[in-house]
Amino acid sequence: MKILVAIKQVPDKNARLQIDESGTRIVETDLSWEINESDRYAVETALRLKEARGDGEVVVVTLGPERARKAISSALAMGADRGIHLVDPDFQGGDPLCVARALAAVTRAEDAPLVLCGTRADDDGYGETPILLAGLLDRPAVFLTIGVEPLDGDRLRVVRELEAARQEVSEIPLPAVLGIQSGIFDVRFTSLKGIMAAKKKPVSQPTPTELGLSAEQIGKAGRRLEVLSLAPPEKKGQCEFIEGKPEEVAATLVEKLRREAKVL
Amino acid sequence: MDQRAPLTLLTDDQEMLVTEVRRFCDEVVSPRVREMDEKGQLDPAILEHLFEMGLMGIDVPDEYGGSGMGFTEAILVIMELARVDPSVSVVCDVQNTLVNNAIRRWGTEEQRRTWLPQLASKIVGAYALSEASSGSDAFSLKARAEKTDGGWKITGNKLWITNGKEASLFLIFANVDPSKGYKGITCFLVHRDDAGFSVGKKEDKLGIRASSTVELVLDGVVVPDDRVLGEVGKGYKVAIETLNEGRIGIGAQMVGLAQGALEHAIAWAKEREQFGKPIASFQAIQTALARMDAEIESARLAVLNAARLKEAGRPFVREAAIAKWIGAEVAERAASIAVEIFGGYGFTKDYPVEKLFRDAKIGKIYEGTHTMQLLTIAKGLLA
Ligand SMILES: Cc1cc2nc3c(=O)[nH]c(=O)nc-3n(C[C@H](O)[C@H](O)[C@H](O)COP(=O)(O)OP(=O)(O)OC[C@H]3O[C@@H](n4cnc5c(N)ncnc54)[C@H](O)[C@@H]3O)c2cc1C
Repeated sequence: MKILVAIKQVPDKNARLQIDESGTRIVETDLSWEINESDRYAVETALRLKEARGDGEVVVVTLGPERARKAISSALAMGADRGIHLVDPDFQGGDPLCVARALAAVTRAEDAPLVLCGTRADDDGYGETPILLAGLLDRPAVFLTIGVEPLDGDRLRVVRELEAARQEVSEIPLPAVLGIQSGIFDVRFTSLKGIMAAKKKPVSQPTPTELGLSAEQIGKAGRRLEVLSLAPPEKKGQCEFIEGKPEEVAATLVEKLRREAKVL
Repeated sequence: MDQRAPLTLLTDDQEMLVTEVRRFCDEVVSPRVREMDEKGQLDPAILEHLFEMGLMGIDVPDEYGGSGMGFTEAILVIMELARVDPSVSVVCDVQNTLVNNAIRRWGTEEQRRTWLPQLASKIVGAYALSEASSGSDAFSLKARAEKTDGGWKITGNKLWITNGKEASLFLIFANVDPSKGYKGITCFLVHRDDAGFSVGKKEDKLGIRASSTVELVLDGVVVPDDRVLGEVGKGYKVAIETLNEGRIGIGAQMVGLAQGALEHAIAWAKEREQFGKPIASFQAIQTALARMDAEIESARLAVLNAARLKEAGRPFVREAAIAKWIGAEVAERAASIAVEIFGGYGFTKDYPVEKLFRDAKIGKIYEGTHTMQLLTIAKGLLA
């Protein structure tokens, strides 16, 4: 089975982000980048599915500028077989629907029965792309997935995480789209051999035309959602340290919760 | 890599390697550091990961089952590991820069095919030169090897052997003819299961406590001829030349340790408040941190440059000695200042800098004492 994994390159979690002069974007120079966390879990899930079935191909796709090539290399080093980089300038600068259209075109071109995405991107946090993608492809979709098991006859058993420590188990037919939740298991450590092997794996760069897409469907030209401003949240709230013996501290805290915060 | 690129600019592969080793350190090593230090034991789970990730055969070529990377990559790994635990770092350092290196360089094709794939995937190696009465004066070693029919019989004791508790393969230096002095020294490959071989007392140490340091007893260990590494009587060359490369590794270990100390100190300085402000706002703390950073950077450049010279096939004896010397200087100072920046907290085991302070000391002792590095540098200057 061919599994397509859509990954996004996002700024390193520990990076200190600055907003540019336009007030709508972050400054990208000197940032370090990594694969979006839940996307890494999606890659891991794909690799485990392939290993469990003993056959198949894991193809990673990313839409992003030249720098995003490193995200593909990292996924290839983890064990993915092949990469697709939507690097053409016409792909860049779109909203989630534009990205989903490009991914849908890749899914069709690849004829991939299963597409895995991370639940949401850690940078812009839209969390829409996989949902829009499933819609465009008219496929069943399961989100907040924390476990996938292959069943006979092209069906999957999927576990979802719900609120209040509940889990839902469902069965879906392929083709399908899954949104993978992070933190569901240990993502493997990339081996040095994996890093060396990644260099020999193919990465293609299809153009919009090759994927049958017109400029208005994707990228800046296709964008209908406009970001007006970006700013750090205002700092509200204050922190108070209560000092003293543990019993006194506890008593003061209860008092404050009751009188000031009025939550008790 | 372009030989003229800035030393600290990593290639994409190196960046990926460092990122992944760092993740491994944060997720697997870091939570175990304190317990391993207290018990004086390496957690087997860490060793398993080191093998799985390919960190025990970093520059062993692909055809021998290794990771197929280079010496600089080994140095970067040793540095990263030491940032979180210098003990784990030295386990990896000895395997890569001493044991694998010696077998690759001096082994016959058959020895390489026999040992390197195992070392890269499942067995730990150790390097046994020192004895109770021979440290700096290594070539006065007393271990003896006598010729037998089709092999050698080795008798003697080795002391201070890193990785000895976990190791399966030991590079043992013994003299086949003491009348020839150092020209009798020969290197043998001894397996833990060889009859007459046993591991003696384990040292209870000041620092790098999770890395085992043991005595070895060779009570008439008989090995076949194909266990001689390099030529008979040329063991001194194996020893000297491997240690030259090893010193770059120790320099890297010390730079990593110092970097770890600096990072802890920065985090603490920003968080700890006195006189109503974070202590990082005091210039005395700022200059202390800045000085640490400047010193660490210079040591890092010395280490990376020595590694690059080695990889370029240029002479590097002086540079390796400098790398180890400056690394050890900087690490001891950085760890010490980090303890001071932490104040009383830094003096306790509840905070990580106390351990780094203890760990730093070894940099001035093993693989040639601090003085011996200076004597090596001076020898070149006055030649
Ligand atoms: C934790 C640990 C791990 C080790 N791991 C290994 C290992 O894996 N394999 C291995 O073979 N060895 C190992 N060693 C041994 C280490 O390499 C030696 O301890 C080191 O070479 C110093 O030898 P020594 O202890 O006999 O000290 P000595 O040689 O007795 O030195 C004592 C002091 O005298 C000084 N000195 C000696 N000669 C001179 C001189 N000519 N001029 C001026 N000063 C001099 C030294 O600088 C030092 O300050 C390890 C040691 C330790 C502590």
